[in-house]
Amino acid sequence: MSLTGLKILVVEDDPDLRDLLANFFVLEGAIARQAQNGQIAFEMIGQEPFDFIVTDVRMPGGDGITLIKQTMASFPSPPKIFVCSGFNDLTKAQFLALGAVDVFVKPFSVESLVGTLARAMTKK
Amino acid sequence: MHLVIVVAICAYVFMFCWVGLNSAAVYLTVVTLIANPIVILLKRAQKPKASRLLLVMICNIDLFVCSSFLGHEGNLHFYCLPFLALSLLLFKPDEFRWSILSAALTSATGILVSAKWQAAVNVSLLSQSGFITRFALLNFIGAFLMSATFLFMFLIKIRRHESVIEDLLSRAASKIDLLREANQKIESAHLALVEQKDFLQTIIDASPSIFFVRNSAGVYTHCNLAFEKAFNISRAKLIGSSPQDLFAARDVDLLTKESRFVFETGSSKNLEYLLPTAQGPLWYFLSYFPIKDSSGEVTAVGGIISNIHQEKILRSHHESLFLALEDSAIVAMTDSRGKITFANKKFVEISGFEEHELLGQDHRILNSGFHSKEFFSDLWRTIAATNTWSGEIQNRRKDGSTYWVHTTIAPIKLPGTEEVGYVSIRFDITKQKEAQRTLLHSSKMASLGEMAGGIAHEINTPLAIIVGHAEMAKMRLKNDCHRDDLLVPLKKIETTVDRIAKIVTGLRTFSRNADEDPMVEADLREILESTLELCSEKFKNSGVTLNQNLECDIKVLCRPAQISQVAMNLLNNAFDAISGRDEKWIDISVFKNDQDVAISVTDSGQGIDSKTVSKMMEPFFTTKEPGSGTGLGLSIASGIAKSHGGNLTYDSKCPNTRFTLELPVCHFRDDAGKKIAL
Repeated sequence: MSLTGLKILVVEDDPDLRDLLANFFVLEGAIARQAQNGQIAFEMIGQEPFDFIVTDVRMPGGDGITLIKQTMASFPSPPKIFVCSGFNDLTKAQFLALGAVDVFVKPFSVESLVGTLARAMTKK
Repeated sequence: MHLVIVVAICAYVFMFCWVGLNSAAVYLTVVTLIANPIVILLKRAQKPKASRLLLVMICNIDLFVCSSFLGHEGNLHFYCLPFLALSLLLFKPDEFRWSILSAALTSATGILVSAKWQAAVNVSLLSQSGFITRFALLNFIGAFLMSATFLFMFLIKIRRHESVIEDLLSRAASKIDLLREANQKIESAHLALVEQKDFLQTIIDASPSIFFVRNSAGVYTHCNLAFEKAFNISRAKLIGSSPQDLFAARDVDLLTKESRFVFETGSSKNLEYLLPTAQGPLWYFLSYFPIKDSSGEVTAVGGIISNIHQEKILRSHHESLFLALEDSAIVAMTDSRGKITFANKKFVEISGFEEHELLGQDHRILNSGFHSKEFFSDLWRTIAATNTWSGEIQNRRKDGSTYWVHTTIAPIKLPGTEEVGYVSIRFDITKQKEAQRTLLHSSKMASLGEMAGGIAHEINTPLAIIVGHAEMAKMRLKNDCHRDDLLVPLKKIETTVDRIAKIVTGLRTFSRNADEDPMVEADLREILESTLELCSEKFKNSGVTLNQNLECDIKVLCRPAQISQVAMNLLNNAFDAISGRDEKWIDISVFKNDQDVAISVTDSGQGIDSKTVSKMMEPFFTTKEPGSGTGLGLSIASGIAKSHGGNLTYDSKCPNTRFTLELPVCHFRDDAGKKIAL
């Protein structure tokens, strides 16, 4: 239960992975919401406060990069963004420059992702 | 004439002796004797009229006296006869008239006087002594007869003279006619000559070539219109002047040298020369020829100069074009049946045949077997229909190797005949063809890489899901049930996913076109391990033992994708090389020293022969069957090594086959400025 009290938005177009991540977060005590692309996610961010956003990069209907940019630009204190990327996406440095907190390259260990989220929570 | 005078004098002397002295006779004789020489002298002194006159006077006096003494001393008449004869002989034929006329007149007067005198003394003519009167009469008649005879002779002579004159006149007339005829002939000949001269001049004026004649003094005697026009000199000015007056000294020297040659040797001379004309310097063909007289002596030099400027320009243009063509293209010409009639140097070079081996053959000797029968029959159909065919053909050299040419075959008219032949111009495109194949190969590889990239992406997400679920299961097991035995298979799932991920990464990395990647610090072991993942199954399935010595922790500044490609190439080569062997192993090891790191791939083969070693790094060189392998792997690998500042070498000292990729190690400088390896 390392993520208790957190509200996390999972942005991922693959439903299985989305579900998996969300369930993992819930198992760890967090509240998880799901969005299937960046567009929907952005709307949700506007409506509810989130602590973390865990987002994929390539999604039909709004990619992760745009989401990061929009979020960083539109909110004075945006939620922390963690990126789950494939090979062809930007380098870690580039994501961090955009405003992401950390990058995980697929396939990654979900446990390590959870660990990172937990550590980020304490930093708040 | 002197003889006559002597005879007369003798006659007189005789008569003196015979007749005796008589007053009248004496006077007569003396006068005659004195007068005759004077006559002759006068004649001699070119005073014929005066001498004639004197003679006539004397004669008449004699006659008169003689006639008046008819009745008396008859023998006086004897005196006058010789004298008369003499005087008459002295006269010219045409003067006979006068003398005879005067003689006749004088005789008549004498007779009349005598008759009158006779009548006065009353003595009749006939009454006197018959002998004397008759004698006198006879004398008289004789004198008349002589006169008549002379007159007659004179007339005849005149007639003869006349006829002679006529004859002469007619002869003269005929001569004059002849002369006139001759004159006419001369005139007409002259006219004809003038006509011919004009005719010739017209002809040479009509010629576009320049024509002139120079005599032995070097002076122009003839020229034509073309000459005038070319050098802008009128004929009047030209005829009579020398080349020195008209042309530049440099040209004069040459031109007179040539004409001197012709003069001296009597033979013609031809040459080409750049003449300065009114239109600028133009090329002319100069032909000098000797003009000889009837004895064979050269009296003048003729010159015909033709403008060959266009032809020369065209010729040199053609020559340059041909030379350029010769140097750059493979040129062949064939007759209408396709037998080679001309093969240029490049053709001989590239085909490996000697020129004599090509001539007379048709292109079947170059047939590589690559193209179908239909290909060639289509070619023949096209050019037989007088169209140009263009395309790429693979030909075979004499030694059996092949080469590609881009060929253009065009039908042409063979010079001098109506026959059709063919000219083919070819360019060696073997390299381009290989490059094409490489490009195709690379683009295939690139699209493969792209595909791999897409696949990788697609695979990664499901892999993440598998891992996630395995981890979740692990978590649940830990918390809820205590089924530790299930942890093992779950762990296995995790590691297997890891393996799959490495394969996908290796594949993707390998297939990318990494030329423009930035050089990054990368862990060599990671690169090699992911590359090995791609081959390990293949090796295991073929019974190839793989030995790895990758324990060093080394970072290199490199393009990981390219290092992966090199490693892949070496591994594949090794694999192919030992495929038929009994002993099959491949060893990949990494050695490091301060300067660089060496990655060696060794296979169980027995090494490579030196001939192949010298060629194997060349692009397109392969010992494999055509179609399996481009022959580019090692050359590309070598290039990658070089672009990393390293080297790809073959270790000939190793008993097995070993290739080594050397790369410089990543260097940083520490604070003291000393290089430290990473």
